[in-house]
Amino acid sequence: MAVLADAGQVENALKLAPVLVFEGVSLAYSVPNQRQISLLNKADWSLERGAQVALCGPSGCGKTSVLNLLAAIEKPQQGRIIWHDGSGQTEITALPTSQQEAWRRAALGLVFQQFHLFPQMTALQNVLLPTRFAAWQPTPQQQDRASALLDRVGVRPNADIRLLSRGEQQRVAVARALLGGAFGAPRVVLADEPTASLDTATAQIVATMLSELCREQGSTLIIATHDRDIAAMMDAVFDMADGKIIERSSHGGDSSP
Amino acid sequence: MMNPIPLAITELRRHLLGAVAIVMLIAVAVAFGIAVTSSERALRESSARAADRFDLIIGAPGSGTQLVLTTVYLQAAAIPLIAPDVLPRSLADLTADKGVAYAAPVAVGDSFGTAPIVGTTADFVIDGGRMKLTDGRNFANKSEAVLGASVDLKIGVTFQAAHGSAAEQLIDAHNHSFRFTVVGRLPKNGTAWDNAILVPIETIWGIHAGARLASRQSEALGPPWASDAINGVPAIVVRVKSPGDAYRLRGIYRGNVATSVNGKAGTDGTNSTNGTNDTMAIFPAEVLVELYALIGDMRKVMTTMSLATQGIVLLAVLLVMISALSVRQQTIAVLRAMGAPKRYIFAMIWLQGFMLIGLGAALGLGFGWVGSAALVKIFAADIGLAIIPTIGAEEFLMAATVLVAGSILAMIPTAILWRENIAQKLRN
Repeated sequence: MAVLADAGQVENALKLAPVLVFEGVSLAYSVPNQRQISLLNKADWSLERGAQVALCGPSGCGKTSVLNLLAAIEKPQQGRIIWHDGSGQTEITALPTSQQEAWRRAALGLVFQQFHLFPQMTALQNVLLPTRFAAWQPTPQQQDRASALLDRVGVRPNADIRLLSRGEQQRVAVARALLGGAFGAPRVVLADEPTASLDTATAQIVATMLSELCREQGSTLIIATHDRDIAAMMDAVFDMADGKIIERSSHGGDSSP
Repeated sequence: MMNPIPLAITELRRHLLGAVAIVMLIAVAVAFGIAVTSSERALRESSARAADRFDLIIGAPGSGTQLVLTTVYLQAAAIPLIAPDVLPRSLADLTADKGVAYAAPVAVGDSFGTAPIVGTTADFVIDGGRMKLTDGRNFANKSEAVLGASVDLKIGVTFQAAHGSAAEQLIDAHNHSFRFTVVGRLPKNGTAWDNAILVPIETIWGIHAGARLASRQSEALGPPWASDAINGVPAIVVRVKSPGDAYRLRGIYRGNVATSVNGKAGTDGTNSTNGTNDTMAIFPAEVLVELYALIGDMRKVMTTMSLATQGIVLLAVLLVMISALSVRQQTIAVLRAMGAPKRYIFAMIWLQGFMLIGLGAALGLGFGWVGSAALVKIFAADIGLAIIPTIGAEEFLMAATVLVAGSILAMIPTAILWRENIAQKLRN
């Protein structure tokens, strides 16, 4: 098991293809005045590099929590979450907080249902915002990349966020997620209901754009969604049921590991 | 190195109205304190500066405060004149005293327009040579006058003095027949004397005593004066050569001066006094110290109120920041999810508090200066002082204290955030 000393080591490790593995992960949380809700119960799950998968299930089944686990925002009560790369494996839940933060900045791109853009910033400033978490200002390469991504999603860099449609706003959020860290595109993009607040046509456009960009950049894409059409666009669909993550077969059956 | 400044500014712009309200609240609280200390200091310094050239004032027994107000600040008031039998001897003694640079009788009571006319000596006009006229020359005969810096007359112009002050003219207007010609102008010194017209004391004596006295006066100006050529004056301004002389002379004229023991002016401080209580002698500083003590007490009360206000405002700002956090928790959770370190969030929230308080304190300095100017204008109008308040170390220290206290308090909301559960906020 490799324990990475700093963000640079994290970056180097992630230059190699990651493979995600859940090993006996259990997650439960308490709701006030209610019994404890179990979301995952010794769940095993693995994901191949560059895959595009949908995570489906009814509201409250724990899709967002799985994404939080993957982002090391949440800690499982039991089990391990491991990112494999060519030089070894990293148990992200065992990393110290500062390394988890560095790992998120370097390896992850996040897309949220509610976009979470800053309306007083331009589109370009929003896309570049995460670069300032660890640097005084973005590098010229990051600026060029941000402009290129905005161009790719069809939004002007100096666009006023308040004047953009919801679809355009989500496209800016997609560009932000795909900017990645100092070494380029993120290895994994986690999208939590990215199209839930968009109309059907716009949702298709945004999802297609997200999928295409991830493929172009070689990023693994995990979408939590209710939308069957969006799920159908992915390479694989996983359902959350009975505390497990089960792959849905092409004819509706399960292919649980 | 991380850079939370752009996001901190963006977030403030996002809640602009609230931010402006907080800044104004802090600015007003700081300005209150600044205005009090700055105006008090300006008033104290200006009034002290105005009294600089008046080492010792000798007048008839009565109110020392009124004597100072009338002589130093040219306040129009009916004050008793030094008794006719005392004045010649006092003037003679003082003029002959080796510790006296000059002793100038000062007569007030006439005016031209709003400008008081002051009868005095040529020595007093130029403060015994310490002051230079900006224009023209000193008066050299009885019909000449020197203007204060702000009097709206030109050199060479002739004018007729009116009896009484400008206010008294409204009740009983009558002019003296005597005419003065302007021959010089004094530099500006920011006191009531800027608005005064200085004329020879002999002329004032002549005008008020009539032909009887005028016929006995010589054409020469200045001391020594013949006893029968002198009329009453409310005050004698004495410029001394040393502080020791000032105290000695005050001892002599403080409540007892009249006739000379040997009929001649003494020169060693053991002269001419016999304790008849015909004069009083006062250092203007004595009156000013009492005045400052009163102002100082007021200042203490106002400063305490101001500090309490600043404390309350800072606490209010703190509460606003804490309550605003509940609205921003999800945004902060999103930033953390995107990889923002805790210290980035900490710095951003703290910076916002720092910027609000810093801007409020800076504006407070400006507002305080404006408030101070308004306050001194009210107080100073009556005593003719041109006071320009300044922001000094004390005011900067006050603003800095608010900034430091606010900066420390701004850490409390950030400390609350430190314990937040990101995952829970994202789920919500």
